[in-house]
Amino acid sequence: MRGRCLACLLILALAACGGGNDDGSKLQEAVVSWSATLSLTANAWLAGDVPSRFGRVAVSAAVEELGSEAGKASPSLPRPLTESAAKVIAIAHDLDEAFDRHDRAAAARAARELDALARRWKER
Amino acid sequence: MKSNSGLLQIALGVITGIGGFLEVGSIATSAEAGASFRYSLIWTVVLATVCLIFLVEMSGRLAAVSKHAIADAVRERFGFRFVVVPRVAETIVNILVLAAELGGVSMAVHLVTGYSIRAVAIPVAVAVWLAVWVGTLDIIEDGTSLLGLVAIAFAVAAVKSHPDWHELLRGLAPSVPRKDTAHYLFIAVSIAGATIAPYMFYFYSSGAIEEKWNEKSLAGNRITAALGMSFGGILSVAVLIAAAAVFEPRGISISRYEQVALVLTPFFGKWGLRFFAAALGVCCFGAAMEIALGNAYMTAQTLGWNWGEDKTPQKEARFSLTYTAAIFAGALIMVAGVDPLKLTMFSMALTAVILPFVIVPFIVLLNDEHYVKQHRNGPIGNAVVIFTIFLASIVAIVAIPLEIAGG
Repeated sequence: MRGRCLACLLILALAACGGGNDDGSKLQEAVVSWSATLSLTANAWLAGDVPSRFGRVAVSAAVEELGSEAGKASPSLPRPLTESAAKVIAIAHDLDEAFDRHDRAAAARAARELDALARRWKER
Repeated sequence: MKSNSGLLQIALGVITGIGGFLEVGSIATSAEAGASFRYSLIWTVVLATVCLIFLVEMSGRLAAVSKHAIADAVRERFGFRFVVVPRVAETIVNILVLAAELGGVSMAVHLVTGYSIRAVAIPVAVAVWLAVWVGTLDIIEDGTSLLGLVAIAFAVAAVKSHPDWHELLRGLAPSVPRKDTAHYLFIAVSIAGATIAPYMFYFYSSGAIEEKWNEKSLAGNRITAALGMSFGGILSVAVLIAAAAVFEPRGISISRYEQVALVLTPFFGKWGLRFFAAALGVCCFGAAMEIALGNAYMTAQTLGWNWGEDKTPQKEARFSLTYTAAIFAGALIMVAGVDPLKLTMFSMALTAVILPFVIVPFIVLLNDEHYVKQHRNGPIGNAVVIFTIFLASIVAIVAIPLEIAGG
């Protein structure tokens, strides 16, 4: 009985190990996820569905999470990926300013750039 | 309270369904499941909900027939030494889950006001404590169940998302994906932990004792357990469906509540964020009160103290002190800056680990004629509960280290 339980645990562990993510795929996932989140937020703000206050809360979370993920990533990662992570953070700061100034044009531009980044890394 | 009032029993079922089922754990785990794996984890919600229906019905039946709440009966049947270690483990898990619920309320305030979670955690804890301190069981039940109806917005959103019904039905069949298996298993056990929350049984059975249930209450108990928990389960699936519609196509994987907050916006426009914050705040507030009370019931019954939410705090000072200490311990965890979503997922998975230690003695009681007379468990109830809790616990033991190792 005990042997069967151990075998089940081992199978589950092996199955689970098969799906492990490396640093690169994690950072790629974070880039796609936060680009899309910020784009969704910017579009909701443009439609008047969320207030600027929430926009800033979302930007702050994105910068924190993406910054932390990029910080953990190995230096050997492909440069375009790390550059994209930095670019999302830069656009997030622009978006924050756009929310502050109620600058709809800047927010729409940021949303387009974020969409493009999300699409680019999602397709890879 | 009248012992055989059907309406009051239904109220208890509904409060447990809304305040105890749809809380920070079910919102977070279902949203993450939908965003990452679309409908393929619906089977976990359904299996855990079926198990929960059995367990809640058993909690009420034990109280109504034996006039014992769960912790009280377990201590009497197995002795104090047998229950010490499981109760200590449960208390630790309860405080973590309570912290996650306080984090959920604080997050709702953060989303609406922009104030930091650390800044609002203590005022939120004081509000929860005050509600438990001055409130009676009736007020806690009715207040949360009425306000908690805002969570129906998730069900409306799920319908408005026009789900693919064939894919949804396929999600009812258990499966394990080849990609991201560790994360899939971790979310699956977190769903089980969020759904089969032990504090709920202590709260429910102790509430039944406070409301003086008897054998005439059994039919009502069965109906409310099935209705209340099914209602909660449907809302949980609704969160998953809405998250699958909003996040999965965009490639959004959930790592913060700030992302989950957008789940209703595409369906309700400017009301989306308000509905989400209200649902998160109210459900977590209700669940925080239930956990604080459930933990105090468990501790007081294990140690043989006076207990009762309807008594004044002066008459059961140690009971009141227990929930006071638990609430502020939970608040301190949030003040320390722990991420609420990560704490939620971790505490829910940890709940799954301890389930067998909590549930097995309870199942023994439900098969003991000395306690439940002729109202013993049937083989189906025993089998469903034992299978589910052991499955959840074993998978949790494997999935938690892998999730931590995977960052």
